[in-house]
Amino acid sequence: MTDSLPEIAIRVANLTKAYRLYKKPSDMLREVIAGAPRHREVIALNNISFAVNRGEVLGIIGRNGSGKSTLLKILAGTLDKTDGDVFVNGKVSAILELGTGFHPEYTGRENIFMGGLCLGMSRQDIEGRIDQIIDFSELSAVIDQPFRTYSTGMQARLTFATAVSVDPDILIIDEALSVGDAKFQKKCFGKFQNLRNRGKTIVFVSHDINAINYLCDTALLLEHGSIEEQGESKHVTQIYHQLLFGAEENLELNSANGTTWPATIIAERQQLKQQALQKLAINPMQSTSGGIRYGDERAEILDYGILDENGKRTTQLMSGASYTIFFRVLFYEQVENLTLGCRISNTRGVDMFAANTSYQKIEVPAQNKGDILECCFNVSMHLAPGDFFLTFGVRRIDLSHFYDRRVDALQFNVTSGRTIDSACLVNLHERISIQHI
Amino acid sequence: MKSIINVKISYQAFREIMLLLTRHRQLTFAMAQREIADRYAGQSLGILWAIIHPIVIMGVYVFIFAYVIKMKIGGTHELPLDYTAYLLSGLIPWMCFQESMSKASVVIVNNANLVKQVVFPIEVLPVKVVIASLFSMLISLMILMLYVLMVNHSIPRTYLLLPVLLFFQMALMIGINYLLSAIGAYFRDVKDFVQIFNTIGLYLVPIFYLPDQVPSIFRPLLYCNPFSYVIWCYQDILYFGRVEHWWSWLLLVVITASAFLGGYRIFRKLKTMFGNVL
Repeated sequence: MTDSLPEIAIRVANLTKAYRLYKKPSDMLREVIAGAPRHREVIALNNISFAVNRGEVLGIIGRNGSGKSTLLKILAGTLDKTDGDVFVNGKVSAILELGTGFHPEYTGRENIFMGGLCLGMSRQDIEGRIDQIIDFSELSAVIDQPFRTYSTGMQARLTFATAVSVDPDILIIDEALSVGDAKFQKKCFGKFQNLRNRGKTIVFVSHDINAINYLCDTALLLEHGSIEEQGESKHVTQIYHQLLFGAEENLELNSANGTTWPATIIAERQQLKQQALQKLAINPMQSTSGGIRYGDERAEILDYGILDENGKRTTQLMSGASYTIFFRVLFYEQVENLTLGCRISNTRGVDMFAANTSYQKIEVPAQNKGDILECCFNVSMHLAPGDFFLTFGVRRIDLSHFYDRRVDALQFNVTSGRTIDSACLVNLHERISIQHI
Repeated sequence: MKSIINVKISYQAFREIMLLLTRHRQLTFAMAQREIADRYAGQSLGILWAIIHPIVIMGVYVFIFAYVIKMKIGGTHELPLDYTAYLLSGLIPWMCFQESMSKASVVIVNNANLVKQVVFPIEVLPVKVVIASLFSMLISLMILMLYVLMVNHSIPRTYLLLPVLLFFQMALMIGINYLLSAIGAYFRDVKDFVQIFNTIGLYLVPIFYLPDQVPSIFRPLLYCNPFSYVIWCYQDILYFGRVEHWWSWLLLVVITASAFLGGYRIFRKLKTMFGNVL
């Protein structure tokens, strides 16, 4: 499998979908017959192109109304396209909504049969797999009770279990998983891995950045029906985060003050920054390196790092030792209601640790123009060996937006004297003892 | 328009639909089964209603027309059986059409969740309606056979041709249902048109009377109505016991073929846009 050339599972070229909004359904047919337009057009997808290889997991993220569901429906074939090409190579199974094709009055078992038939399985196929499906859904106790008596989570489980049992080449999932409990989600993720290892392709829509990072190889960020960013999922989710919490406020500010900050303010800020850098005795190059950054520029994170027990900066950490993570913020304006935080994520983008002043109920005093604040996190390093990224942020306490955020500003490496499994995430500093009984 | 009579395109459409229905035959039957079961689910008499219902309906018509109005048919025709048998042999297929058409006009809208949300062969929806309606018809036919057996002490040999006729009727209904269900998704009022047509249609086809009894200026109406030919074929088999209307059989083949292919092709054209209107 690894040697063969990647085979394309899905190819989408210049896909456009315009919803024609009609006042009533019959207007649509009248338009076809009479030729005179009777609709208002809304562009849901605008000139989208991407490809997914076989065995790849693609995540799709985007805000509400960005076109995610429309894209999935077109891929699943339940919606027509307006323009462009869509090539889907293989048998598709889709979970676009909970319990579709399931009848509330019928039992879970009957619904598995009906759902399976709807998904294109034969009666014999289903009979052969039904125990497996019930097993996977963990509903054997209630499988002969009506579907309507199930909780949302149980419905999700049955839907998912039935849909994956089809053994599709391409599985399309629209946020259906988010209602299952943690245990079932984990099981689903396991199933994803299993499908992927067998060369199946998965397209997965979620709001959960961690889930996308964890599950997907590549991701697609949709915004207003266009692809804002695509590529490695970690990168794309960062852009998404920025889109959610950074850009909008920035835009608003900029438009209030013209397109950019007035020259006098920029000059004043340059001066403040120079003074601060001198005061902190750091060179300007250092303060601009690393990661993505965004915010409304009312404050700036000038310096950051990790100090060992001797107060020396380091990026080579020992698992088990104590460290101080710090960053320093310069304020360009008077700012109150602050929270300061840092976050550690691994190379897959999964958050390993995050803390801020508001979680700890520490009140940050209001800051004036030119103030510099240092924030320190004294931590004991319990992470297992690996590479990690540090993110810093100065944010409004209501979490609405960032004054300055530096994503993955610092990369560091953790090593361990002792040997623990390289695939694990934390180091619990075990002491193993054995004795004869 | 030219493409309707294009043999190659027609053959392709025919192949396509046959493949589709063969592939999804289990689903189609399961859905038809469910539709029949749903109808009587939770009722204390249960599936008995499938027998009570047609008996009552047929009974009312027979009572009114044969015993209250005392309809007489005859004249030039040689009539082998009584009026009740004549009435029933036309009424039964018509009731099947009625049931199937009124359900077909809303089948897409009622199954919007299937149409919109999953990878689902919506082509089976109009077909399952046909199968469910044919089920009711088979029960009615059995009642008719019992009646003929009781009155006549024998059943005409032409009853052996029933499967052939049922096959044509099925294909015809599938075609009609494809058309009605597709248009019904856009025009929600199709179901009302169908309802009215169902009520009036009962008198527009020769069920209660013989064509000869119709005043000659109105008679062309009878011959314009494609359903008349189906009814005549049924009367040939179920009532006359001989081929009385041979041209009806020829026309039935033509009507069925064009409805089946035309209906399916319109459905195929419109189905991609269902997602936009539901």
